[in-house]
Amino acid sequence: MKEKIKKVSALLALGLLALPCSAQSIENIRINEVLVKNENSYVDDYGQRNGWIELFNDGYSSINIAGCYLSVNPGDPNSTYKIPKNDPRTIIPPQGYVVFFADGKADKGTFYTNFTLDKTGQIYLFDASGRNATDSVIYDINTLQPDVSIGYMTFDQNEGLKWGDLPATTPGATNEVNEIIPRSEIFREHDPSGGIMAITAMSVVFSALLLLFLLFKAMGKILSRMEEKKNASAAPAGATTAGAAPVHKSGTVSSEVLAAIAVTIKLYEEDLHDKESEIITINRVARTYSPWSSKIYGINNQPIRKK
Amino acid sequence: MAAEHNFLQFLGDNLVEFFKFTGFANVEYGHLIMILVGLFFIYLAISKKFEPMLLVPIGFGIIVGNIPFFPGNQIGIYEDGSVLNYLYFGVLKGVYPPLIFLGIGAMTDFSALISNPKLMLIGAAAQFGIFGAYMLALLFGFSASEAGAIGIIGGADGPTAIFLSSKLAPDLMGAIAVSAYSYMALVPVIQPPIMKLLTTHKERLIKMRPPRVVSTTEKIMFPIIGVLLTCFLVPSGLPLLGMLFFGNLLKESGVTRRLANTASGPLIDIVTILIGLTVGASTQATTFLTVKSVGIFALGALSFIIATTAGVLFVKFFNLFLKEGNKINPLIGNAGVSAVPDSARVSQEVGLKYDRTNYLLMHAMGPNVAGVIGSAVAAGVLLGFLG
Repeated sequence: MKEKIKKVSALLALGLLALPCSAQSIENIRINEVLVKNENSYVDDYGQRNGWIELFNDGYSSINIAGCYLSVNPGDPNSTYKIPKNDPRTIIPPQGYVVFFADGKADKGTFYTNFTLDKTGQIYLFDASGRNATDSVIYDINTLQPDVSIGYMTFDQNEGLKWGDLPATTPGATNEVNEIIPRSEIFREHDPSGGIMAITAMSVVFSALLLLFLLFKAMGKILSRMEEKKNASAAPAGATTAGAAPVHKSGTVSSEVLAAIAVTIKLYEEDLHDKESEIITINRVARTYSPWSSKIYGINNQPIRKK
Repeated sequence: MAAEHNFLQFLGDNLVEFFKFTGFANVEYGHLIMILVGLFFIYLAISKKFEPMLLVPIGFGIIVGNIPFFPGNQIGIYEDGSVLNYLYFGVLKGVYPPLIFLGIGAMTDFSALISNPKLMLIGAAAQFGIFGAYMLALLFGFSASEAGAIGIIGGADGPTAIFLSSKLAPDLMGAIAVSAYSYMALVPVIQPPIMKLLTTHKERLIKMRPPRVVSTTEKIMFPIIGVLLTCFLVPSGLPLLGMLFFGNLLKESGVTRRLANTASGPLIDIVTILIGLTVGASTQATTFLTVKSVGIFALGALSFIIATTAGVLFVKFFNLFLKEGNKINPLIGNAGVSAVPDSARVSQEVGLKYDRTNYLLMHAMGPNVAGVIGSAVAAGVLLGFLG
């Protein structure tokens, strides 16, 4: 039986490990903003204006995108750029951004792709295997206005993230151009006196402890009944246990007994008696011989003068 | 003669330069006031025995943090790269409070609570101090996140107060922590008058049934069920509640005695030293002596009063639904604030004044430890809404 339980447990553990997990990964990187026609907008490190792609890490741990691929035409090596390894700047911090310039020349550095954005109307981000597209963007080149970027707009409570023309280009920064009001202040606007917070929070606190109360009340009853049944089946009818602590009908030990037990334990733990440093015994103590403890070489022995 | 003059001038210039770096040249009234506050804390701890484990490190930390110095030499707690700044990191990032909760869990016996689970509700009721103070702080013009951080003082739980204020209002953390610990130390002064005011003589004499014996199984189940239930409900309380219940499992499992001993002994001692000293040192006069700090102290006192009142009144209300013989002595209502074990001790002392044979300590420990859970849950709720 025990063997069976062990086997089932092992299988369960393996099954749990096989379950898909949502760890922080390349899945958290999204194409956040794209500028295809750059005429008077953001200038790169070489003083040139090119189209650019902004990637955003929406997770809460740093993610290294080295080895991943950006492509405007999957399968075509001239339109696919492998993000180089060994550049610490490819590690995107949580809620951080990086910008790739699409100037068609891959020899300028890590953040310059070998393709431009004005040919295909699509951008893909592939993981390091090069097979799984983790994000993609499709756009109509002809309808795009110069210096107007496309990207994710303000988070909408009902519709979530929306993609479209942005009111301003914001490479390397949030697409939100309006003042960001902290969540706490938005909450305050709805609850200026704090009354709703007090009621809500107290309800949660009460619920948590009420659930614990109910669970442990039930558990206490069940365990007490089990104990009673066990005692009833163990003890012969009419027998009393000699020396046992007097127990109330309710199953509780009287406070005097508890106090006596507590004092005994305290005295025992504090060990009020003097501690003996040596053990006195009538048993013969046999020790393995060692010259270090031998009396023959003791310093109290009188030296033997040899002539 | 000229060489001698040059030498003396050089010596004089050096001494003047040296003087610029001394505390005497940089001292302000604020520093002296804060040093006096630090000395007062040390006096309270040593002479009056008010929370000495906390007030001695905090008091000394206040002195350390308010020694005036010439800025820019990586000395002060707020200067990047200074030793104190590194130690303060644990406070700033909320590292120390969960470790303290681990130790608290490893040294807390939840038997009183398990044997009489209805006492948990008192621990919940006393948390009203937190939200009462939150409402008052909003009324006095604090921002919502500041009000949340100030409100947690009413939980009477130092680590929780530090944890939450480090997340919601790091600028006010020093004042909030010092306020929380000060009032925790003053629990024997603040609570008894409220308890006496709100209870009748008859109520104070209520003798509660002795707690039943709690089995090892129940003790082991408590931290497991506790963490699952509370953290599923309020995941933002996970750092505190997770560590509290983990520490308790180490203690109750019976097979990890060494780990439990470390958590409840050396570990909590080390962290207490670090948290006390750095929180004290964070009260540099320049950042601490503000009108806001005064407001925080006033609101902190009110939050303790509200919490105690809510706890006592809740017991009186609860008694309306309990049969004779099952009633709860309202003098343990104050113990719902989680100042462990001081508030439970206050229940015992006040109870003994009216009946020399009525020992309330073991009963008061129930709401007391429930208060620890309650305040951590409340902190999680505040963090969830305002963080």
